[in-house]
Amino acid sequence: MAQINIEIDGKAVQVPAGQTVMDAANQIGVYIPHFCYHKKLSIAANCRMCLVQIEKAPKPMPACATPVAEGMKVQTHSEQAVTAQKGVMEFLLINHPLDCPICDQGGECQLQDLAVGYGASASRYQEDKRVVFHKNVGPLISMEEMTRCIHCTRCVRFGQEIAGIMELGMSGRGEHAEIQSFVGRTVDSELSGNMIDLCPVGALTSKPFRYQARTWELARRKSIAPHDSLGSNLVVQVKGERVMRVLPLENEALNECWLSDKDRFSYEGLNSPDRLTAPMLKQGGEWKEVDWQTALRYVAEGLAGITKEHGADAIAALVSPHSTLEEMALAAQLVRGLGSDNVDFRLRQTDFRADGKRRGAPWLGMPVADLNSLDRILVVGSFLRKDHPLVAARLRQAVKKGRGTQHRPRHRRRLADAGARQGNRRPGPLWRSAGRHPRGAREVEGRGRAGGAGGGHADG
Amino acid sequence: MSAATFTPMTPPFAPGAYGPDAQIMKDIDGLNWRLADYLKRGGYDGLKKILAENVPPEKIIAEMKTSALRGRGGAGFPAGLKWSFMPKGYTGQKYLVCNSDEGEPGTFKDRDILRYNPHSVIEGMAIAAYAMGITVGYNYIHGEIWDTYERFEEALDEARAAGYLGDRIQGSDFSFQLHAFHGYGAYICGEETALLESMEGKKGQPRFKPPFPASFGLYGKPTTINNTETFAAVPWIINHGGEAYLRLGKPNNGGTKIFSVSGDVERPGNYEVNMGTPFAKLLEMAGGMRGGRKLKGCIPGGSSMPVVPGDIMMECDMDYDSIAKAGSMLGSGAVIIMDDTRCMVKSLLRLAYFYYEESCGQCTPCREGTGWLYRVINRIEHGEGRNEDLDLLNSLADNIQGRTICALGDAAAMPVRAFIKHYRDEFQHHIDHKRCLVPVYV
Ligand SMILES: Cc1cc2nc3c(=O)[nH]c(=O)nc-3n(C[C@H](O)[C@H](O)[C@H](O)COP(=O)(O)O)c2cc1C
Ligand code: SF4
Ligand code: SF4
Ligand code: FES
Repeated sequence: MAQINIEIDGKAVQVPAGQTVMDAANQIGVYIPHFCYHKKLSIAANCRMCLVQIEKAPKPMPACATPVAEGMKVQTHSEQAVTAQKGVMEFLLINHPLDCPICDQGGECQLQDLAVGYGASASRYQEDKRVVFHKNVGPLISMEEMTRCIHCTRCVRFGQEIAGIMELGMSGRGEHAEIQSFVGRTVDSELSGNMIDLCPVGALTSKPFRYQARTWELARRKSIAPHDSLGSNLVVQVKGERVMRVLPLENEALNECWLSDKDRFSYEGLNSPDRLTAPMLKQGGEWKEVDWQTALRYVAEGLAGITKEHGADAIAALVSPHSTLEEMALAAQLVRGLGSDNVDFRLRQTDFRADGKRRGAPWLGMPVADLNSLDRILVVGSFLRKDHPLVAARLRQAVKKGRGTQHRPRHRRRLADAGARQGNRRPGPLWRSAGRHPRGAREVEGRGRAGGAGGGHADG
Repeated sequence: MSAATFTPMTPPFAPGAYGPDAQIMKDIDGLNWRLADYLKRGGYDGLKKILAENVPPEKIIAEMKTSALRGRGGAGFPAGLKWSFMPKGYTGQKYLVCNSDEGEPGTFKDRDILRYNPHSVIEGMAIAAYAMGITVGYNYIHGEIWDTYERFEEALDEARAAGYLGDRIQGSDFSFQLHAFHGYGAYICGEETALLESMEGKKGQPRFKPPFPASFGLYGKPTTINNTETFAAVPWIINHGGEAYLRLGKPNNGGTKIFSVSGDVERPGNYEVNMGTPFAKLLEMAGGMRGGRKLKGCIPGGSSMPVVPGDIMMECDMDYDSIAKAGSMLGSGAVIIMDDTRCMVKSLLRLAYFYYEESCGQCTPCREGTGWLYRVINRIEHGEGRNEDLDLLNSLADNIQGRTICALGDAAAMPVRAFIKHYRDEFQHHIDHKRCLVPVYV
């Protein structure tokens, strides 16, 4: 693609034609303040925080939406640019509750950060502030303080473009515009937690994490997602010994900047009172807590007894496929050490005729990131959205590309249902979902919402 | 105020109701809107001629450029130039859209055209479609004029039945399907890209431009959008030539323009005059100032445009360039007349409320700024103004204008600046004395 030469704050930079001033600035590490812009979402250009001065342009232009042009000279900190940015910040704050001390986003809030640089110490706005009624969209996303919303529509675009179901929208006009779901519905996307990350303010926050800790109190431990069979990278945030929340860790090759809800919120199980934390033995029909030594001896004796009476072959281990490879390797080692070869993780497979006929380990056959650019996809027996939410998100991008259009909501809706559908015969990239999706998955969908024929949609 | 004396024009109108210069509204009496009447007035001759002679599309566009017909929807963009932006040799679907969403306060001309001369719009659109190689068109009609929408549908049926629309029009190779579409009355849906969103079944919110509709329009396809009056002027240009149309007006300001005159005049209504007609003459056509009062100010182009003081206005001609010189814009051609009984604070408050209510809420300066403007003006009007308020208003207007996605932000800001600029003492009086400078007339 043709390269375009432009200058940002006096620094020369070369970028491919079609990129925006924001892209170019990112490339050379020049920070332009922004809210609505997000590299993974479409351009909305609605917050106007990224206004910059461009030589010969009569007015400041939004960097996120202005395509580069040869010889363009951009000033991100000139008087004109900063005046415009400060003007926008003032507008953003007039109706904002400024309740940072009681806001969960405090310390990791884009608005708070930028207000330090671009906000005034006192407001010229003396009138009553707008109040936006709170909403309840289910157990994961808290929408208790929607007055904080700055209408950047990142959450809306995420639903439409990445998750594939538009569950949040901006209803109303002008000052009365507010983010909400379709008449009282909950947000059910398997990727919904990402909206919490995307929200630049404290409007969408995590319900389980609500009022639990401040971001600066948390230690960060890198880890791998246990539930999405993708090995998504994540950060476990802990306070003392307690896991307080889980966030995605960016990895373009796997999860990009997203994380599925099951991996994001399953940490709650760790702190659950129902959790088994000490070994127990059932004696006389009753569970009794015992120490590790007793428990281990009991198991060892049991295994030895079985081997003696029935032979080692009578021992088998089934390991959850959600276990890590290390755990599985250890389990295999243990069983083989006992003299048995009966170890497997394929809990739901019934046909094993292909065993031994295939060389090497079965795998996807391509890097995960390549899924985005496939032009034919055959899905067999999987309800992708439920089983592999982030793979589904990638395939959604592939379908979008194949169609060569981004503005077909009908087609996005189809996409959302792609995993659940059978035999979509429309032209374009072939979507076939062979076999049946697991019955349970449909039940999880509840309310016949996005799963079925796509008929009962909020936006349909 | 003496509002009760005015009775609206009801058909049949007296001959020449729209003024002696009228071309679009020539011989319109309010009842002769049907196809048969239109044909009697020479209707569809232009379209028939083009089809019979197989006139090359480039020639029509060249004619349009010569005519200096400028878009009548508000921005005054040359129509011929806009038509030439449509990608040539594009094989996919292209669309033609007529903007009849007329919602600008003070403007009521498109409604009259659609009601009393709908076929002129249909013919104009068919010619435009032919010139740009378009096969499908829509007319987006404001949602609050339902009867007009129904009448337009009727006119469409007539045109289809008579072979002026549909497949192989008049036996030629040219096919054009035209449909009517009605909105629900949101002002913002008059903004061309919000209109497209609305037609696509989405919330009417403007798109960021570029890309412009000529490359990414309805359903992402190349689209040309013009105002009702722009299309209505096309048949005349085809029949008489671009040169003749240009000569009706002034260089760069071709043809006639329908002005919707409202406010403190004896006979408010639509008047079609040649471009460049002195304002004083237009005022006279509208019966002069009501009760012979003094002209205090005039908004010459619809509520979005800056107000012009009476004395300057009286010297001004009615065309794009002259009005620009007087510090305002011709806009949609809604001439709002205010006499010396009008309180300018209250007038501005009324306008500010409109933009506050009609902002789509998408971009920050407009969503937040229009409400702020309204509240400050409201407190001045109600005797609670503060000394710093006028500077505050100007600074807010600065922070809105030119910083938004669409021109509604500008439209909210420009009147504020102009009102304060020209009538500052009146605003100051409100602040200082907590009451109106204008004596109460009964
Ligand atoms: C807020 C806003 C409202 C508008 N409303 C109308 C309208 O009601 N009718 C119209 O023709 N143009 C309206 N316009 C202008 C259109 O965006 C567009 O410029 C016009 O339809 C183009 O047609 P023209 O070139 O024939 O004037 C509006 C623009 C803005 C920013
Ligand atoms: S809720 Fe958050 S992400 Fe959604 S529009 Fe408001 S500020 Fe943006
Ligand atoms: S300027 Fe106002 S009406 Fe236009 S897009 Fe922005 S918020 Fe909407
Ligand atoms: S980041 Fe550019 S307008 Fe919001």
